Amino acid sequence: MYQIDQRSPVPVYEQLARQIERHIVSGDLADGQKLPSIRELASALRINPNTVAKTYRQLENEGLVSSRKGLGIFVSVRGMDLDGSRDKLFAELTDDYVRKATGLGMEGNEIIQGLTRRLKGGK
Amino acid sequence: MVSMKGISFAYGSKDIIRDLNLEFSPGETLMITGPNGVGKSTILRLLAGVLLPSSGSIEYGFPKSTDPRSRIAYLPDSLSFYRSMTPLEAAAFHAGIFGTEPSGLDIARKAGVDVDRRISELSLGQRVIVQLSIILSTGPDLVLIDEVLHSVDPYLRGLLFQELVRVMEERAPTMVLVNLSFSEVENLVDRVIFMGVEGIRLDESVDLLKAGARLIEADDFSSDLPVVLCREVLGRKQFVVYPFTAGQEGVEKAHPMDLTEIMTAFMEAEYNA
Repeated sequence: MYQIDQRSPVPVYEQLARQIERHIVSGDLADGQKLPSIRELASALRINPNTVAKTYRQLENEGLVSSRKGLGIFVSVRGMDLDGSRDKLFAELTDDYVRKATGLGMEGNEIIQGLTRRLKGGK
Repeated sequence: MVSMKGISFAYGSKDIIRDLNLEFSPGETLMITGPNGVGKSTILRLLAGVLLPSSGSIEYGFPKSTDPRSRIAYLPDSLSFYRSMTPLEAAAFHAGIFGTEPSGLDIARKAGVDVDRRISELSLGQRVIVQLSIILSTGPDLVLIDEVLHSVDPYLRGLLFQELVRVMEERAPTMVLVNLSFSEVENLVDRVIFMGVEGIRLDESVDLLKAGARLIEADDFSSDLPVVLCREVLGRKQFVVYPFTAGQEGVEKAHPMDLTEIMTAFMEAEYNA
């Protein structure tokens, strides 16, 4: 599901667009899959239907979804650079992680060591 | 487009509103907020036509032939309408006035309301639902809602939201909310107007407001940033800044804020002034 961060300075339509993009990149939303209608999504998340419409317009401009008249909005990733999108999202995640770790006073080597231990299944 | 031009209003000799100018676009959902007694509910009553301004004018931009009252759905803070009627009678009565189809009371039925019982015998939350489903049935272009949601339990509130979203999507009316809890509707609202004793203090889109408001914790704080409020919490000084621009020297940690926090800061500043 989708989660709106009320404290984020990022506008809600943009937050929602990035979350849908993440679902598309990860394959949770498959190519050709129908997205919820504006009304369904707005009611479920208690957000303004104009906001959802803006999210869908943005995703359409970015080429991640396409609208078929009278039928709805569908995931459409043909010809999309999914690897590029994945790299971009991973870079954002890494930036966020590094920022938080640095905030704790960790330095580069410690961060890398901590990650390596984790990846090997240790603590 | 609804416009209030040079509106003044007084209760007896007490000026409540002085020379107010506001414009609302179709499809816009806005919240009017501010401390008690600055005239927020009065603005709704003026827009609803329940009160007449002592000077100034309101233009609605509705089609000429229609009765403007049929285009306005007003839910007042006191739910006094139709108390002695049943929901079914009230729906028929309301439709009779405006020559529209009576509300099917769908959400009221979903909410388990007995539509053959007197409205005065229903719970407060049920009365809100009944009234809302009646006033929204005329397909309004201007929806005015004062307070009320806090008397509605979470399940019924969910139904109410569905109904509001439906109307917003179908008709894109102008929607003006007053005295509602921000956390309930903060993703529904796209513009906030903060009223102080001196009139409008802030009129801004929610996106810009959230992008620009920051909480800074610091012992001392000197910069050119506009400080809305300075307060002490648990022995630490907090500065609320709006609008914030990044890259200021001496500002290390600026925390984003949610709408409730931003509006509480404006409110606090207004009381301290």
